Amino acid sequence: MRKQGLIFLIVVAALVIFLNSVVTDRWLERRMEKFGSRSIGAKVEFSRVNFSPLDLSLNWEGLKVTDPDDTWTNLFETGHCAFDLALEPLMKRKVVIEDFDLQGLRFGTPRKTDGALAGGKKQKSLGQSKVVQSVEQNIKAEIERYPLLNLGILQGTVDVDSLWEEVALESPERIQALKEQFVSKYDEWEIRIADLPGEPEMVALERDIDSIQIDQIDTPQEAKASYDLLQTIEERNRDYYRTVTQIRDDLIMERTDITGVKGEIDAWIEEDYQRILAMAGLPELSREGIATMLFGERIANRMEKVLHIVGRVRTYSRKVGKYIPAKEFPPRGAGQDIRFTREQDYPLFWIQRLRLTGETAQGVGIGGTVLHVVSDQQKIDRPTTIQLGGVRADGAGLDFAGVIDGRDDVPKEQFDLTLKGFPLEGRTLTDFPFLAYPLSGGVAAVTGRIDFEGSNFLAELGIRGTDVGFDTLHRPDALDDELYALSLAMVRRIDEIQLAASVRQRGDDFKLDIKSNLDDIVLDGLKQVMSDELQAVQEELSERIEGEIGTARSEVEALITEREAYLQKATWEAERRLIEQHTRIEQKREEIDSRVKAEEERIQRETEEELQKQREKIEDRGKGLLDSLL
Amino acid sequence: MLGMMLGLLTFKTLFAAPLFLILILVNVNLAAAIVGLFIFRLIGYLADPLLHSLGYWVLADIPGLKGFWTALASMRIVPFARFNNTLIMGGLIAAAVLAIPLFWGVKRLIIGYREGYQERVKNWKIIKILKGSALFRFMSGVEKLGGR
Repeated sequence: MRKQGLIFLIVVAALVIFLNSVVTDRWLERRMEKFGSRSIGAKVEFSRVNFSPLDLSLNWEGLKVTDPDDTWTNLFETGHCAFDLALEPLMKRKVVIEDFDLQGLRFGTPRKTDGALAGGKKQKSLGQSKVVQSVEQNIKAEIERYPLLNLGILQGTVDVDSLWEEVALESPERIQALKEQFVSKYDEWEIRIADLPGEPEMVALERDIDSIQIDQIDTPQEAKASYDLLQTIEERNRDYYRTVTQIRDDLIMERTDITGVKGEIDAWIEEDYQRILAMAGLPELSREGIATMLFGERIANRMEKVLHIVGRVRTYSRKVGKYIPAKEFPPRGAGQDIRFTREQDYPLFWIQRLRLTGETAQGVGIGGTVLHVVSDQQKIDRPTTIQLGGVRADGAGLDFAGVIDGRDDVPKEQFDLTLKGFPLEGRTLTDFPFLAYPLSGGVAAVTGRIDFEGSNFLAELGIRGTDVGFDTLHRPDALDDELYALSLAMVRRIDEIQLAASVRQRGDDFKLDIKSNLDDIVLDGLKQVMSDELQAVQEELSERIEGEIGTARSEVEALITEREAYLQKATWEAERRLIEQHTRIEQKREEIDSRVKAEEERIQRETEEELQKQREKIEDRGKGLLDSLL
Repeated sequence: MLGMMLGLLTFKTLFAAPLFLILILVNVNLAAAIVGLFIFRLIGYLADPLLHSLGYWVLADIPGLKGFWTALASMRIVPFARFNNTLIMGGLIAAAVLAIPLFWGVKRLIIGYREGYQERVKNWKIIKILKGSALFRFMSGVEKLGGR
C-alpha cells in the first residue's frame, strides 16, 4: 500500500467535495445546455440551475429553447421549474420524476441573440415518419390542383403565348423514354422469337414423317419401328409447340403490360395540363374546388406544422422505445448504447406528472397537466396524456387534450383543440384577392381534431365566425374597378363564416375535403364574369399540348402496332405450321394403323385358310383310316 | 497491464474507478502504467470501429446473453459501469483477452532486455539525450511518487 496514493486520494476527495459545493450547479447547467442543444439542433439555455445532491432536487429560473428552423425565435421558454429525482431509479441510472412544476411556459418568443449553434452544427436528423411525409405530399398535391385564381382571366389579360413560353412539358421526355423502353423490349422479343422453330425444323419434321413408308411395313417389327419413329417425331413436334405457346402466352401478358403503360401517356398529358392550369392560376371552376382555393393553402400550412410535431413525437418515441437498435456508426470514442431493461423495471426516463402554467403566442393564459412523459410507455402501460386549458381577459379561451399512445405495435395519437371567442378583427380570411380585406369585426370558434392511428390519419377542422365584417376600404391592389365592385358585392353577402375541413388517409386512399358557406357566393360571382373566357383559354392550352405531344404519342402507338404485328405474325405462323405437322403425324399414324390392320386381317385370313386345309386333310385321313378299319 | 486496461476502457465507465484505485494505492510502476495507458489509448482510438463491432456483437447479436445483460442493467450502481456501451464492452473484452498474453510477453521482454541489452542500450547516445530531457525527468518523478 502506498501512503502517497492514499494521501492523493484524500486530497482529491476533499477537492471534489469542495468543488461540488461551489461549481456543480454551473457545471450541470453547462452539461444540460450542451445535451439539450445537441438534441434540439439549436441553442438551449438554462439560467440559475440549482442542484441539491442531498435531496436530489433540481430547479432553474429560466429555460429558453431555440426554434431550430428560426434561430431568432424560441420554440418555447419557461420561468421557474422545479422537480425532485427519485433515488431508487437513479441508483440504476434512470431518471424518474414524480412531480415536475413548470411555470411561465410561453411559445414563439423572440430572441435577443441568434440561437444557432456555433459552427453551424445541426441536429442529426431523426428522419420524418413515412406516414407524415405521405400525408403532407397528398395534401400538397391536392392544394396545387386549386391554385389562387389568376385575375388576368377576369381582366382579359391572360396571354396564352407568353404563358406557353414558360411551360416546360414533361410528357414529351417521358414519352420518349417510354418509346426507348419499348424499342429495347421489342428487340428482346425479336431475339426470343428467333428461337421459335423455323423453316429448317419444319422441313426436318416433314422429311422424318415422309420417311415412314407405309407400303414397306410387312412385319410386326417393322410396324413397331414405324410407331416408335412416329412417336419420336410427335414428341419433337409437341416440344416445338410448347415453346411456341409459351412465347405466345408470354407475349399476350407482355401486351397487357404494354397496354397498361401506354395508358399512362394520357395520364401524363393530363398531369401536364393540370400543372399548366395550376401554374397559370386557371383552376377548373367547381363548387368542390372553391373552398380549397380560398383556404387550402392556409389549412395546409397549419396542418404541416401539426404533422411535423406529431411526426417528430412518433419518430422520436419509436427510436427511444426500440429495444435493440440497429448497428450505428458513432464517432470515434463514443460507442453505441444498447439498452437492457426488465418489463417491471423503471423506464430510462419518466416524468410522472408535469404541472404547467404559461401563455400562448396569442396571449391566452394556460395551465394544465401532462401525465407520463416517458421513454417507454409499454413499461408503465400508460399513454402520455395532455390536458390544457385557459382564458384571456377578453374572454377568448382554449381547451386542448391529447393522448400519445405508443404501447401497441400500432401507435396512436389523438388531439382535440377547442378555441372560443377569438376576435377576428384585423385578420384576413384568405389570400384570394376578392376576399383579402382585413376583417373589421367578428368572433370565431374553432374545433379541431387529429386522429392518427398507425398509417391512418384523420384531421377535422371546423371554424365558425359570427358577426363578420370586412374593412372594404383596404382595397387589394390586384383588383381593378370592375373586380373591386364584384368583390364588394360578394363581401356584402357575408356576415358569417362556416368552414369545415377534413383530411383523411386510410392506406393509399386520400381525401381532402374543404367546404364553406362562402363557396356558392364566390362561385356565383366568378361565373358571372369568367366562364367563357376561362374555357377558351383552357381549350387553347389543351390544343397546344395535344399539338406538342400528339406526334410523340402517335409514334409510340405506331411502334407498338408495327412491332406487335410482326411478333404476332411470327408466333401465329409457327403455331399454324406445327398444327399442320401434328395433323400429318396423326394422318401417318392412321395409315400405319390401317396397314397393320390390313396385315392382321391378311394373316388371320391366311391362317384360317391354312387351318381349314389342315382340318380337311385330317378329316380325309381320318375318314380313310376309318374306312380301312371297317 | 493496468495501463492497457485503462487505455482500452476509457474513463467514462465505473470500471475505471477500481483500476485507478489499484494504480494509486498498490505499489505498481506508475510510469509504466502511464506509458501503457497512452499507448493503448492510441490503439483503442485506431481500433475504435473494431471494438465497437465486437461490443455490438456481444451485446446485441448473442440472444443467449440478453438475460444476463438485463439482470446486470437492473442492478444498482452497475449500470454506471456503462457495460451496455459497445465501445466499453469491446474494450473490456479486448483488455481481458490481452491481459495474460501481454503480462507474460512484457515480462519476458523486460527480463530479456535487462539480461542482454540494458547495458548496451544505456550507452546509446539517443538514450543519454532522452535521459536529460524534461519528459524523462517527469517520468522519473512520477516513478518516485509511486515509491519505487
